Amino acid sequence: MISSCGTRQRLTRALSIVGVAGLLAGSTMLSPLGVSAQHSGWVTSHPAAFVDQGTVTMVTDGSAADLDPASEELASSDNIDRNIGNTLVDLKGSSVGQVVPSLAQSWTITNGGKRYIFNLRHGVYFHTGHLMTSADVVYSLTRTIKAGLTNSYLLTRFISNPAKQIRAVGKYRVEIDLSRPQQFLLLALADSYVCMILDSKALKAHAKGNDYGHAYATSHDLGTGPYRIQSWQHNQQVTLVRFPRYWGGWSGPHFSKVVVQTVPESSSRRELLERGQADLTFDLTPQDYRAMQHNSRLQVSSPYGTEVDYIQFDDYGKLKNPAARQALSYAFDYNALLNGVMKGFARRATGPYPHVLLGYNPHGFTYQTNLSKAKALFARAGIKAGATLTMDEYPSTDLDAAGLILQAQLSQIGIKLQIKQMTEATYNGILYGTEGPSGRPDLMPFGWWPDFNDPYDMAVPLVASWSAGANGANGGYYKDSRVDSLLKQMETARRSVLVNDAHELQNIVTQKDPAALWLVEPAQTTVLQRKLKGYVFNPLELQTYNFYTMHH
Amino acid sequence: MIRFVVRRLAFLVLVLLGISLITFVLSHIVPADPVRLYAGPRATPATIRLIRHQLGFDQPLPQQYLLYLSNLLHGNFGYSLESHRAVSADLYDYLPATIELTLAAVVFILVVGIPLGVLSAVLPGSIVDQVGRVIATTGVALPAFWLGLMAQLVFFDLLGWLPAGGRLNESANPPPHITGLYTVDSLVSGQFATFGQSLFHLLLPAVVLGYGSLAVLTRQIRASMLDVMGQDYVRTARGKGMPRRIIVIRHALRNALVPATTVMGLQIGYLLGGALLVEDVFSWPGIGRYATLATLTLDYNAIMAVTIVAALMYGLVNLVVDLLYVVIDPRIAY
Repeated sequence: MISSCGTRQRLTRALSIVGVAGLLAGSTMLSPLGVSAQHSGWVTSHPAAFVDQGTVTMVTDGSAADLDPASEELASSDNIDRNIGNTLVDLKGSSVGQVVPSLAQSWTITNGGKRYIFNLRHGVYFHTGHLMTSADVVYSLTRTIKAGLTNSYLLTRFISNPAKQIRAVGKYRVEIDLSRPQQFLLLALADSYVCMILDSKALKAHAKGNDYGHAYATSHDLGTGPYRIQSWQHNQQVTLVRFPRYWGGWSGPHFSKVVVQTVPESSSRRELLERGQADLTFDLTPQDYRAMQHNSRLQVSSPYGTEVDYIQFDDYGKLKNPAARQALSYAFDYNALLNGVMKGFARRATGPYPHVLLGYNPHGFTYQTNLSKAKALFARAGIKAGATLTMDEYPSTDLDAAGLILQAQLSQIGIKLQIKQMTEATYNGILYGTEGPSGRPDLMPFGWWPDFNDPYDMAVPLVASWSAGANGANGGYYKDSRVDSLLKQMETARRSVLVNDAHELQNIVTQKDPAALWLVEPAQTTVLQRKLKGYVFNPLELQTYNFYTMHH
Repeated sequence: MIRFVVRRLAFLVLVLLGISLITFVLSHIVPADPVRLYAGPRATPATIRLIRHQLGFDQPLPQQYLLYLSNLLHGNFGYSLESHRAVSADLYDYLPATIELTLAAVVFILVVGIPLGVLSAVLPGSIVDQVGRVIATTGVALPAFWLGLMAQLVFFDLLGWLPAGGRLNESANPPPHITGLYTVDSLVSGQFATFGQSLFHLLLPAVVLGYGSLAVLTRQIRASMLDVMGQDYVRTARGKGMPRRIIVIRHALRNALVPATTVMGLQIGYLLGGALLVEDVFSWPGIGRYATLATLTLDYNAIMAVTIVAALMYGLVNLVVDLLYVVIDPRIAY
């Protein structure tokens, strides 16, 4: 969810039932909205011997700060959590819609899609030494909701009364009862950042007041993942070492040690990669990626994720008239941004939905740069030559440049764009602040991605009227009654209806009543040593890496 | 002397109070809500209210300030919104790194700057003097962050002689925390390989950090030396047949060091400020980087703590400088 500058994202993928069933040997799965569905675990063959690959070193701009999945927000923290913890179910590889077993070895969906029964894997140990049971699952999910911390929203959409709705049935079975069928619950539970299962004994032992062990979980490794934290020097380095009792086993080639170093300067990160002193990094400039593509010892991986970058319109004053917002969309030079600035490491966004997200309409309306049309639309909206628009922005490769490109384009038709630069923190303070639309700039750039593969989850924070101002990321106080109605319908709609609604919503917020100038989907580029194998990118798990699958 | 020290320390307390008030007001008038930033974009209003209350940010500003001061007296700098732990714990980790880097830079400045300044004065127009002039010009003209990047490019990327950053190699474990200064702690605990590694990692950032101050000190020493060398007592000493080496070191340099000490004291402030940029370039986990992060994320408590600690350090260093005058020049007394 957040800006392209490093905060984290959570995501989900739309549940592709058929795909899952086809992929899982011996599993049976019907629609989650149907009568029942069941998953079973993988059939394992004779394990190969562990082949120690030594140390893998990642250099990154950010630094882990908070390891508690109930509250942590930074991708740099997610990156550690993803390697020290597990969820009940996982996204399969690079899929955004297929779920595979993890701590839950199998599951059944009954009662018309309202009851989820998870059969837990036996013999799973936490890094604390305790054995995982259903009590840990119940407590982990319940505390995320009841502690009321940052990430509680993800589960409260599905579960309002955890004490009643989540319960242990025996030592290795957990049931979740919903008030209505929820096709996205499994995808939410696969969110490796929020729904990680922690050691409830440790949490309870270190709980202070009503914090559900939050203060302790912030800085302690309470997971079941393949790696455990060996040392953590804040703002400098986190060292993970393999957890010998990891339930997934250690057959085959794996790294026994993972070093995540904080290197704030992007030029320094590039140098470390080029000299072979680091194995992977991201968040460099497009110029860096271009140059590094020619280095035979490196591989530049640039898949597309679910992030969409845009410039939000203030639905007020000069831009109240949709024609003015359409004019801005026509005025923008998309090619200059895509090719001149992003050097090809981005593709056009045509609305709030990225290409890989459920609900994306490949045939949706796309603006082509046309200054004459822009001028005519401005005139229709009552904006004449000599008018001034305002824009706030913070340092970011594409969003910075987008402001300058728009400024240059508008100057050609006599409109002045005043740009105010500020730090990301100050900018976020304005975007998420309580100031009404009259006190906001006309244009506010930002980036967003969903928690999971759900067009409702992606759109609500951006364009729902109830997400305006301090209640979400609708910083322009966008309000369109058609959009609000569609969203209310989408929250519980069946897949086919959901997709149609998403198409309609995309059409409104892009063409009829634009909510934003939809810019690009930036490529999620990672630079790796060529000898590094096993990197699997998932479009929903941005800026985090699963080191367990990697090897030389 | 004791009265002087007590008076200066009392004055320092007043300065710190003033700085805490100014920093508090400045950081709180920024049009942003740190709780909203801390809570994240998806936090509900209820969550934000809860966090605001937990952090005490729902109280009136004067009350927040008084509470802050009260906590400060107990050594409690508050909770960092960025690192999610006590600011004092952050300072415990980061401050020694900056002190070590600054001390290393000071050593570099003194070891190189004093001989260079003296030789430039004694041998005007010589190659040494020319080198001193180049250092003076470039040291003042080149910003530390650019110099740092260039140094990395040359000594790490092209030559591969020195590491790009960090305090130790990624595979090395830090020595036990005694002072927090890796060079000292590794020596004390007998980890000589770690000592060598930490020195190796210190070299480039310390030189880059100290380069600007080296220029200032070199020129100051040179100018003072030239001034002193023209004094009557030096001419008298020379006339009495005293060896040149003795005249330069015992008579001229000692007197030239008085203004140089003042300059060096002031340069400590510059070094602390420069550490902000140098630490970022060299991934040096000190309070400079901590301060940068705190500022970017509006981490109030961290911003205030760093400002107060930096002011305290600066005040104490200048007090020490004032006391050093007595040692260097017996004519001075408080």
